[in-house]
Amino acid sequence: MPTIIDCAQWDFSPERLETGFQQNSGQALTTESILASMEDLRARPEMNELAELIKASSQYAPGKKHA
Amino acid sequence: MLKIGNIDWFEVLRREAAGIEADYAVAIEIEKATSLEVGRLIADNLEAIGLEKPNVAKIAGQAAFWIRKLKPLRISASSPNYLCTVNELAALRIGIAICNTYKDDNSKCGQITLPPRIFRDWVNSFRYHSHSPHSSMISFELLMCAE
Repeated sequence: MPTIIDCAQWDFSPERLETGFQQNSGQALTTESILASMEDLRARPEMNELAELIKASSQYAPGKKHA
Repeated sequence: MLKIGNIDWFEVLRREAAGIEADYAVAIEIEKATSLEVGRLIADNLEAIGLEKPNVAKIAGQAAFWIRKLKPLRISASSPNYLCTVNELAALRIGIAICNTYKDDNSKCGQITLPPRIFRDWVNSFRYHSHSPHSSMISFELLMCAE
Protein backbone atom coordinates (compact mmCIF):
# COMPACT_ATOMS: atom_id res chain seq x y z
CA MET A 1 0.00 0.00 0.00
CA PRO A 2 1.28 3.48 -0.79
CA THR A 3 2.27 5.82 1.98
CA ILE A 4 -0.14 8.73 2.28
CA ILE A 5 1.56 12.09 2.59
CA ASP A 6 -0.39 14.56 4.65
CA CYS A 7 -1.52 17.55 2.56
CA ALA A 8 -0.95 19.84 5.51
CA GLN A 9 2.77 19.64 4.77
CA TRP A 10 2.32 21.44 1.48
CA ASP A 11 2.19 25.16 0.99
CA PHE A 12 -0.15 25.99 -1.88
CA SER A 13 0.16 29.74 -1.55
CA PRO A 14 0.81 31.72 -4.77
CA GLU A 15 4.06 33.09 -3.34
CA ARG A 16 5.75 29.80 -4.24
CA LEU A 17 5.50 30.83 -7.90
CA GLU A 18 7.72 33.85 -7.32
CA THR A 19 10.65 32.04 -5.77
CA GLY A 20 13.82 32.92 -7.63
CA PHE A 21 12.11 35.30 -10.01
CA GLN A 22 11.13 38.91 -9.92
CA GLN A 23 8.60 40.13 -7.44
CA ASN A 24 5.21 40.90 -8.86
CA SER A 25 5.02 44.53 -7.98
CA GLY A 26 5.04 45.73 -11.54
CA GLN A 27 4.44 49.28 -12.61
CA ALA A 28 1.50 50.26 -14.78
CA LEU A 29 2.42 50.25 -18.45
CA THR A 30 1.22 52.70 -21.05
CA THR A 31 0.85 52.32 -24.79
CA GLU A 32 3.38 55.13 -25.21
CA SER A 33 6.00 53.45 -23.02
CA ILE A 34 5.70 50.21 -25.00
CA LEU A 35 5.87 52.05 -28.34
CA ALA A 36 8.98 53.94 -27.23
CA SER A 37 10.64 50.71 -26.13
CA MET A 38 9.74 49.10 -29.46
CA GLU A 39 11.49 51.94 -31.29
CA ASP A 40 14.56 51.58 -29.06
CA LEU A 41 14.68 47.86 -29.81
CA ARG A 42 14.39 48.42 -33.57
CA ALA A 43 17.33 50.81 -33.46
CA ARG A 44 19.69 48.29 -31.89
CA PRO A 45 22.33 46.78 -34.21
CA GLU A 46 21.51 43.18 -33.32
CA MET A 47 18.04 43.68 -34.78
CA ASN A 48 19.62 44.43 -38.14
CA GLU A 49 21.64 41.23 -37.79
CA LEU A 50 18.45 39.36 -36.95
CA ALA A 51 16.74 40.74 -40.04
CA GLU A 52 19.64 39.62 -42.22
CA LEU A 53 19.54 36.13 -40.69
CA ILE A 54 15.79 35.80 -41.21
CA LYS A 55 15.96 37.15 -44.75
CA ALA A 56 18.58 34.50 -45.52
CA SER A 57 16.44 31.71 -44.03
CA SER A 58 13.55 29.68 -45.37
CA GLN A 59 11.17 31.86 -43.30
CA TYR A 60 11.61 34.58 -45.89
CA ALA A 61 10.76 34.33 -49.57
CA PRO A 62 11.99 37.28 -51.60
CA GLY A 63 9.75 38.17 -54.50
CA LYS A 64 7.27 35.46 -53.57
CA LYS A 65 3.66 36.25 -52.86
CA HIS A 66 1.47 33.91 -50.87
CA ALA A 67 -1.37 32.07 -52.55
CA MET B 1 -8.05 43.41 -9.43
CA LEU B 2 -5.48 43.38 -12.21
CA LYS B 3 -3.44 46.57 -12.62
CA ILE B 4 -1.18 46.53 -15.69
CA GLY B 5 -2.06 49.94 -17.10
CA ASN B 6 -4.27 51.05 -19.96
CA ILE B 7 -2.71 49.53 -23.07
CA ASP B 8 -4.05 49.91 -26.61
CA TRP B 9 -2.93 46.54 -28.00
CA PHE B 10 -4.24 47.33 -31.47
CA GLU B 11 -1.99 50.40 -31.63
CA VAL B 12 0.95 48.35 -30.32
CA LEU B 13 0.38 45.73 -33.02
CA ARG B 14 -0.22 48.34 -35.72
CA ARG B 15 3.08 50.09 -34.94
CA GLU B 16 4.94 46.78 -34.68
CA ALA B 17 3.56 45.77 -38.08
CA ALA B 18 4.77 49.09 -39.52
CA GLY B 19 8.23 48.42 -38.10
CA ILE B 20 8.38 44.94 -39.60
CA GLU B 21 7.17 46.30 -42.94
CA ALA B 22 10.11 48.71 -42.96
CA ASP B 23 12.70 46.25 -41.65
CA TYR B 24 11.70 43.25 -43.79
CA ALA B 25 10.31 44.86 -46.98
CA VAL B 26 6.90 43.24 -46.65
CA ALA B 27 3.32 44.55 -46.70
CA ILE B 28 1.21 43.51 -43.71
CA GLU B 29 -2.52 43.39 -43.05
CA ILE B 30 -3.78 43.53 -39.47
CA GLU B 31 -7.10 42.22 -38.16
CA LYS B 32 -8.44 44.72 -35.65
CA ALA B 33 -10.92 42.29 -34.08
CA THR B 34 -8.17 39.74 -33.46
CA SER B 35 -5.94 42.45 -32.00
CA LEU B 36 -8.66 43.37 -29.52
CA GLU B 37 -9.09 39.69 -28.70
CA VAL B 38 -5.36 39.45 -28.00
CA GLY B 39 -5.68 42.28 -25.47
CA ARG B 40 -8.66 40.68 -23.80
CA LEU B 41 -6.95 37.31 -23.44
CA ILE B 42 -3.78 38.88 -22.03
CA ALA B 43 -5.85 40.60 -19.34
CA ASP B 44 -8.06 37.56 -18.66
CA ASN B 45 -5.09 35.22 -18.24
CA LEU B 46 -3.11 37.59 -16.04
CA GLU B 47 -6.23 38.09 -13.93
CA ALA B 48 -6.60 34.31 -13.60
CA ILE B 49 -3.08 34.00 -12.21
CA GLY B 50 -4.26 36.08 -9.30
CA LEU B 51 -1.44 38.61 -9.15
CA GLU B 52 -2.56 42.21 -8.81
CA LYS B 53 0.56 43.78 -10.30
CA PRO B 54 2.33 41.22 -12.51
CA ASN B 55 5.85 42.16 -13.53
CA VAL B 56 6.80 42.96 -17.12
CA ALA B 57 8.06 39.43 -17.81
CA LYS B 58 4.61 37.98 -17.14
CA ILE B 59 2.88 40.61 -19.28
CA ALA B 60 5.44 40.03 -22.04
CA GLY B 61 4.97 36.26 -21.86
CA GLN B 62 1.20 36.51 -22.13
CA ALA B 63 1.38 39.09 -24.93
CA ALA B 64 3.89 37.09 -26.95
CA PHE B 65 1.94 33.86 -26.53
CA TRP B 66 -1.45 35.27 -27.57
CA ILE B 67 -0.05 37.17 -30.56
CA ARG B 68 1.64 33.96 -31.65
CA LYS B 69 -1.52 31.94 -31.03
CA LEU B 70 -4.17 34.21 -32.59
CA LYS B 71 -2.01 35.62 -35.41
CA PRO B 72 -3.55 39.07 -35.94
CA LEU B 73 -1.04 39.87 -38.72
CA ARG B 74 -0.74 38.45 -42.19
CA ILE B 75 1.31 39.18 -45.26
CA SER B 76 -0.73 41.09 -47.82
CA ALA B 77 -1.30 39.59 -51.25
CA SER B 78 0.33 42.72 -52.64
CA SER B 79 3.49 42.30 -50.58
CA PRO B 80 6.70 42.25 -52.63
CA ASN B 81 8.16 39.57 -50.33
CA TYR B 82 6.83 36.90 -47.99
CA LEU B 83 7.65 36.25 -44.33
CA CYS B 84 5.95 33.19 -42.85
CA THR B 85 6.89 34.02 -39.25
CA VAL B 86 5.49 37.55 -39.18
CA ASN B 87 3.32 36.92 -36.10
CA GLU B 88 6.02 35.06 -34.20
CA LEU B 89 8.56 37.79 -34.94
CA ALA B 90 6.11 40.50 -33.86
CA ALA B 91 5.25 38.54 -30.71
CA LEU B 92 8.85 38.28 -29.53
CA ARG B 93 9.83 41.82 -30.54
CA ILE B 94 6.86 43.17 -28.58
CA GLY B 95 7.64 40.86 -25.63
CA ILE B 96 11.22 42.06 -25.37
CA ALA B 97 10.13 45.68 -25.79
CA ILE B 98 7.69 45.26 -22.91
CA CYS B 99 10.45 43.82 -20.71
CA ASN B 100 12.60 46.85 -21.51
CA THR B 101 9.99 49.46 -20.57
CA TYR B 102 11.41 49.80 -17.05
CA LYS B 103 14.00 48.19 -14.85
CA ASP B 104 12.50 46.05 -12.13
CA ASP B 105 14.17 46.08 -8.73
CA ASN B 106 15.22 42.48 -9.17
CA SER B 107 16.39 42.72 -12.79
CA LYS B 108 20.03 41.90 -13.24
CA CYS B 109 20.28 43.71 -16.53
CA GLY B 110 18.92 47.00 -17.76
CA GLN B 111 18.03 45.85 -21.25
CA ILE B 112 17.39 42.37 -22.55
CA THR B 113 19.81 41.47 -25.29
CA LEU B 114 19.63 38.28 -27.32
CA PRO B 115 22.21 37.05 -29.82
CA PRO B 116 20.53 37.25 -33.26
CA ARG B 117 20.89 33.51 -33.90
CA ILE B 118 19.10 32.66 -30.64
CA PHE B 119 16.41 35.23 -31.42
CA ARG B 120 15.90 33.67 -34.88
CA ASP B 121 15.68 30.17 -33.38
CA TRP B 122 13.13 31.38 -30.83
CA VAL B 123 11.03 32.87 -33.65
CA ASN B 124 11.19 29.54 -35.47
CA SER B 125 10.36 27.59 -32.33
CA PHE B 126 7.42 29.89 -31.62
CA ARG B 127 5.95 28.86 -34.98
CA TYR B 128 6.67 25.15 -35.00
CA HIS B 129 7.01 23.92 -31.39
CA SER B 130 4.77 23.67 -28.35
CA HIS B 131 4.55 26.75 -26.15
CA SER B 132 2.14 27.90 -23.47
CA PRO B 133 1.41 31.19 -21.74
CA HIS B 134 3.28 29.96 -18.67
CA SER B 135 6.32 28.69 -20.58
CA SER B 136 6.47 32.04 -22.35
CA MET B 137 6.28 33.93 -19.06
CA ILE B 138 9.08 31.81 -17.61
CA SER B 139 11.21 32.42 -20.71
CA PHE B 140 10.98 36.17 -20.24
CA GLU B 141 11.55 35.83 -16.48
CA LEU B 142 14.77 33.96 -17.22
CA LEU B 143 15.88 36.62 -19.69
CA MET B 144 15.23 39.32 -17.12
CA CYS B 145 17.34 37.45 -14.56
CA ALA B 146 20.26 36.76 -16.91
CA GLU B 147 23.54 38.59 -16.44
